[in-house]
Amino acid sequence: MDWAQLAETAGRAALVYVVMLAVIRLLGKRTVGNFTVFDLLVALMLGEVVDEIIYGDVTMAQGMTAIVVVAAAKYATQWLTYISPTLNKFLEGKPTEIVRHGELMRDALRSEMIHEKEAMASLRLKGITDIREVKTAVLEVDGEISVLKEEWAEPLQRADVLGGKPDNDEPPPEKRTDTPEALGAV
Amino acid sequence: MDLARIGIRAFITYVYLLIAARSSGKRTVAEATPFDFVLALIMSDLIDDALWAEVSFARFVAASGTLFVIDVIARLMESRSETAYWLLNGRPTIVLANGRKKADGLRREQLNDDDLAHLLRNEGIDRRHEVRLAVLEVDSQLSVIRNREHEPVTSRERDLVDEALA
Repeated sequence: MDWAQLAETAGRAALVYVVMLAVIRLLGKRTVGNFTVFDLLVALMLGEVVDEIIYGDVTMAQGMTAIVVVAAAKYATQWLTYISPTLNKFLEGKPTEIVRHGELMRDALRSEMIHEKEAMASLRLKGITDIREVKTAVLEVDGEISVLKEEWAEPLQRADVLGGKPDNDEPPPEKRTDTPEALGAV
Repeated sequence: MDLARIGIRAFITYVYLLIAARSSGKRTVAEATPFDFVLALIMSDLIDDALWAEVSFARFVAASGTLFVIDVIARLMESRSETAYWLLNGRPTIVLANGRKKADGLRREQLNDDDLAHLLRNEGIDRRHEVRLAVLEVDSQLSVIRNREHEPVTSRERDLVDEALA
């Protein structure tokens, strides 16, 4: 067994870990999650290029060049779609309304190639069993369906029953977990 | 390489991944941070070279073992130190406060109005003024905290509901 080679492989892996962590942190939270297919593809691409670096099929400099260029291009794209709504629509697509005031929009479903049954299944996943409760359902650019309910279908709110009376159940400040400080948010 | 050896190598890598996935103690893919996700991609990418015998299993173990150990160390650090946690994961970003957009947070996350509208629709939020705080969490999910008066009624308020209905 070639111990020097194994040590080099381990060293390269360690370096890749640090570089990828830095790249992902700089790109921000968009890399994967609620976002688009393109965001996912870039994450896949970044994950795919590094095995050649770790196994030494390419030099560290070559590998880093590829990673930095892809990351920079992704960052530039994010920034461009942020400042230009037109480019945003072109690169990420537009959301499509598929239900409006309890009625399925059949033309929209057809043009998005979604079967009615599939649309109803997405609504069920959102807890909708009566389509009349839906004010609007939107096929989002990430392929998810979001639902906004009619006001009458939403749960009663505290304000509805308090009717101007004082709120006696206010939690004490130290029990709250939702202040910016408790969240550690910026 | 004959088919039997490919079969054996595929099976060994499968078992290895199974053990790695279980022992990482990771949450589901949906809860993972972007970096968790990319790390999983790297791991699965390292393994196919071993499967096709382009690299030895020893080198594969050196590579993936190193990533695994560093990741465990990073996770130990972030569970013990808040600074390490923020450094490795980033911080949650406030995008909406008291129903109004937080421009600096949105700029930091490169979210435009369409993106914000999308995130809020996903949470079923129609009326922004009901939102006290909307936060983009480190796993890129949006959490929404409503103003108290706009929270749903709970069984605690049963008396008030009875009164209102009476």
